Amino acid sequence: MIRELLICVFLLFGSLLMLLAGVGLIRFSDTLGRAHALAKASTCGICSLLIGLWISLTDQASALNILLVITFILLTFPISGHLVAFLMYHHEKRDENSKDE
Amino acid sequence: MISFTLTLCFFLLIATTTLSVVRLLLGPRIVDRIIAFDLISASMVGIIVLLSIRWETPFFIEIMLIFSLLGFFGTVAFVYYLYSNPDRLRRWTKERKRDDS
Repeated sequence: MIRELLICVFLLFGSLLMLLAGVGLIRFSDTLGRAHALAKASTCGICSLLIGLWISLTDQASALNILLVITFILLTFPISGHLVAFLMYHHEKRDENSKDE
Repeated sequence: MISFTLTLCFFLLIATTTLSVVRLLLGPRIVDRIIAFDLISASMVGIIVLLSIRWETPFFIEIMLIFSLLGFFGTVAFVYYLYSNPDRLRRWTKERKRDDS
């Protein structure tokens, strides 16, 4: 019973965070703001969904696999958000430099 | 209880995918489209997690790993290409800006 309740709480929290990332992607007016909203919310949401899967599956070997996926996502999602912000920042700086000249 | 939560989470993730497809279609800059593609791949991973809970099988964990890997490499490839071709990035951004104003 407690296990089912934990699974439901983690799944709902994760998918609400994913929906929050989608709403932030639509509502924000700036590209840097969109990248900011998406990098945080989607990382946390996917990790929460995977923790729900971890509680739901009972065998021990798949827990290690899920831990691998969680580590991979925690490593890569912030890096991709940072890369997009880096590209946008350098683009705007380059434009300002060409305007000054 | 779990099946109701799974249905609700499916609808939330489908709404997230729809919102990011809207941003993918009308994003004013090329960087917005890259971000929206990132969120689409993340919500696909979330949908695979929900399917794996519903069918109670651990075989989909490798598929989640491959999906997130492909989304990350897509983002890195686009950012590397646009960073090494600044003229192309500037041209695509400026055309869109003229349409908006």
